[in-house]
Amino acid sequence: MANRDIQRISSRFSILFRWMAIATPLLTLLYWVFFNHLPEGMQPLTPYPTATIVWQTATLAFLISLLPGSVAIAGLLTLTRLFRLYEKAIYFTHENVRLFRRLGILLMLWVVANLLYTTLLSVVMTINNSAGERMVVASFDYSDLAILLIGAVVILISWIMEEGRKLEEEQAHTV
Amino acid sequence: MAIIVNLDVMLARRKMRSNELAQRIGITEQNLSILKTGKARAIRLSTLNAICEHLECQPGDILEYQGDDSPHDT
Repeated sequence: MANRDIQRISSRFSILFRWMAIATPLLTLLYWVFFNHLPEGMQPLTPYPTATIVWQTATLAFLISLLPGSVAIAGLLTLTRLFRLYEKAIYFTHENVRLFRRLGILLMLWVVANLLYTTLLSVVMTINNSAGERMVVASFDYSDLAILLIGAVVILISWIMEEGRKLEEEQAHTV
Repeated sequence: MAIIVNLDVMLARRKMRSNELAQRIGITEQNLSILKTGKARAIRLSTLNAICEHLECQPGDILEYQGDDSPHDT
């Protein structure tokens, strides 16, 4: 019965992550297209005050957003594939281990991509400001450190899953 | 692996098919095939017991050790 629960819930997660992977770039695009028309109360993602931006800035900002965005999409697609395997009751294969390891690496890459994103975005958003009002922002806080640690833990778990794979293979070849 | 499984020989002597033996001892044909083709990494004593019971033989009739230095049977 537990196996069926895993399969059922995994199926839902697989669908959810697939749609999130599709929605992420679309929402990012929409955000920058309608940046100048964001409703009141919806805080801009930038940490610095901006009035309106020209379309060239919005385009550059969108492209820069794809830095962490592409890592996020890759992560969501990895999760989609992983849960699709769980949906088929495939738990400890080379593919499972590979996807788990990939997830850990992507988590760590996300931190790097996010740092680059913050820095580049600050330049793009303030380059047209008058002298003395241009900024270069680099941000690394506790949440980034936590994500790095989680990424390292996920990679370690992938090593443990590799041991699980060996055990399952042993079991499959025991008559 | 140096352990050789001579199941085919015993099956031929007892004039029994693989699928019949698999059914009698309660394992799948795929598992029996894994054993016959030497891909098995381990065999349960219960399985070995059931094979010997149904083929009326000894474990040594089915399992043979051939190390690098062991002489071949004639």
